[in-house]
Amino acid sequence: MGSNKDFLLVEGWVEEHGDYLHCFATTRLNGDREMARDMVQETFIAGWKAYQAFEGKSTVRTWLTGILKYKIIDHIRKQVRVENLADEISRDPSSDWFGSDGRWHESPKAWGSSPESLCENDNFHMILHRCMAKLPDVQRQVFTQRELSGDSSDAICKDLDISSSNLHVLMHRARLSLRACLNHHWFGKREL
Amino acid sequence: MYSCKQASRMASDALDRKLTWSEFFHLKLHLMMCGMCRGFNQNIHLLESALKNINHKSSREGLSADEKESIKKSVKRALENEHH
Ligand SMILES: [Zn+2]
Repeated sequence: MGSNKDFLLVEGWVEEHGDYLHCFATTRLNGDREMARDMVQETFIAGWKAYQAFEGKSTVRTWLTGILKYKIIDHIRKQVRVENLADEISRDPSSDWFGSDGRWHESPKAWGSSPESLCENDNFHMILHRCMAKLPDVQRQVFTQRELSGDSSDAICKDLDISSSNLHVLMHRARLSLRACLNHHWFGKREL
Repeated sequence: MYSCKQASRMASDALDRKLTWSEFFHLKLHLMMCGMCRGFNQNIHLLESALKNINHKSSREGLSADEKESIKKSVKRALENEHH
């Protein structure tokens, strides 16, 4: 392959699929735009190397997304190590939220905001990110992949190699923590 | 009869999987009688929709022209190294 012609191909990919792939990666990497950009870049390079093997059975976008997804999963699996996961599952933080009779320590109350108004509010974003940053790694990974990327529970279990009951335990813990953190730093304050 | 701990778990699970009839029934029953768990349930639903909206918004932001140029340059450099 002549390098000039190849490069035109890749330039076209950057223009046509760059935003899409970047967004795909950002939502799966806890909003880390820089990391997402590096991965997209590596995807284009890997795509170029493997282009001859691309048989056109899917669209170029789907094919590139597949390469990117593989890189992201590889990265996430390295972060969410098996020991971390075992630790996180065996820990039982429920006494942080509930008494031995299973009743709430602190009563949750309905929040009075619309999702649309929260979306436009930069201060809320900042608080939300701080609360998410406080979650243990494994919980944060599962939670962002589920809620930000909108991946199905099955896909997450497969990617991270965890059982569905582990996933549900982790999601429950993440929601308990985030809810309490947001209540403390945002909703509770505004309603007082 | 679910405790608040169990009910909060089912309320969370309901966002990620389909509950069985029995789980669904027990959750509804608990929510009918417990304002605290109704509060929790409302909070996690609101959190979910807020995150969906935020995600939608950030996906419109995309890459800047500078970022695209920088990607092109790096890819070009990598491809040239391949040729040598
Ligand atoms: Zn309750």
